[in-house]
Amino acid sequence: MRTPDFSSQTSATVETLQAILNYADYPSQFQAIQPDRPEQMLLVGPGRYRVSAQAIDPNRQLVVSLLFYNDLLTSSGKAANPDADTLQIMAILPFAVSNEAAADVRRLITIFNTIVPLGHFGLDPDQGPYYRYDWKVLDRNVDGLLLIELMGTLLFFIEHLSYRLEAVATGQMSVEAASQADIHFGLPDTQPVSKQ
Amino acid sequence: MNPTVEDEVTTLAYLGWVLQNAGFETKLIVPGEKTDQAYEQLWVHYGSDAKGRDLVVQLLFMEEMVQGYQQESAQSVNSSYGQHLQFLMTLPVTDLSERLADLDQLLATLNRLSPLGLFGYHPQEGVFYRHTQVINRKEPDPRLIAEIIESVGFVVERFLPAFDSLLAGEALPRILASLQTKGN
Repeated sequence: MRTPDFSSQTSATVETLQAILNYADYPSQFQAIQPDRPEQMLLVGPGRYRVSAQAIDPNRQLVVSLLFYNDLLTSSGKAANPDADTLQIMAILPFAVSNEAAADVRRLITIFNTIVPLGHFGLDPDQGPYYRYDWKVLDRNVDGLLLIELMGTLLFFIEHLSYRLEAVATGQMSVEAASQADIHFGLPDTQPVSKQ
Repeated sequence: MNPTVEDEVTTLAYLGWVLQNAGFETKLIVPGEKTDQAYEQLWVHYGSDAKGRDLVVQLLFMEEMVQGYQQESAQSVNSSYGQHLQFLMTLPVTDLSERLADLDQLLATLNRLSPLGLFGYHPQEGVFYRHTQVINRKEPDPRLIAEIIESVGFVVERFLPAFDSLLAGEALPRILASLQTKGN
């Protein structure tokens, strides 16, 4: 397999992102941002979804989407930002939040967002709970090694905190218990940038 | 060509010098200069809002912040290829603890609308806006840093009135309705 260009000296495309992440053994596929539009996003996964510190749910999967924000704008008929772009990395969490539980989930999200050092959790009325990181890039110069490291970091936070949000959403845990559970992490160890 | 940072100049000091030459008002805070601060910060004065309140973006490397605290417990920070540069603005709004549920919903709405970073709330420090940029520390691009500072300042200035309205007791649905117009 041809080694992708890890430098940040050229403008990246979603094809570039796929080549970089495929090198690190992240499976992915393209999807149009809007129907009948050429702008595309990259869907990475499916990956495992953790339901506790010890257990994985084999019936649910995590998908991370990557898109350039200017592509999102142009696909919606809006003007792109000529000065810079943002690589939006986002995961819709695979559980629903009822209206009754929404206030508690938002409370826990506010608490988590004070301690998560990268990106943030959110609750969208249409899409549900999500995790998102917006990476500012000039001229779409994406450092491939940084991207690989970043994906590992974001997945780490998603894995360790999402199931706590779900526990509150389903009433299994109170906000107080979920926020006081042992959450001590510094920046995680980097994964080796080599094929598994 | 991207200039590189000499060993004897910290990255934040270098960025402060470049930003100042680009017209930004900056101040380098050395470790220990402020009470209970073990890490270096670069403060950038973005401007003032419509009420004349100063908006300051604080830049700091998160690794330094973690190191500062971990030194006390004799732990070491794992090294990584990338570094995490945090852009933080503390909003000039006072205590909103009486309206936590409404605040949570306002934060969720703003974070959905904001194209960069997040609004958050800390019980002791109040409302903040934060973006963490992963960078290659050996080649910091001042243009990128300047662009982020402008973006952060713009977002805060745009949405700060929503927090003022919340503090003033305005009903949340009305505040959210005004945001939908601003967010477009």
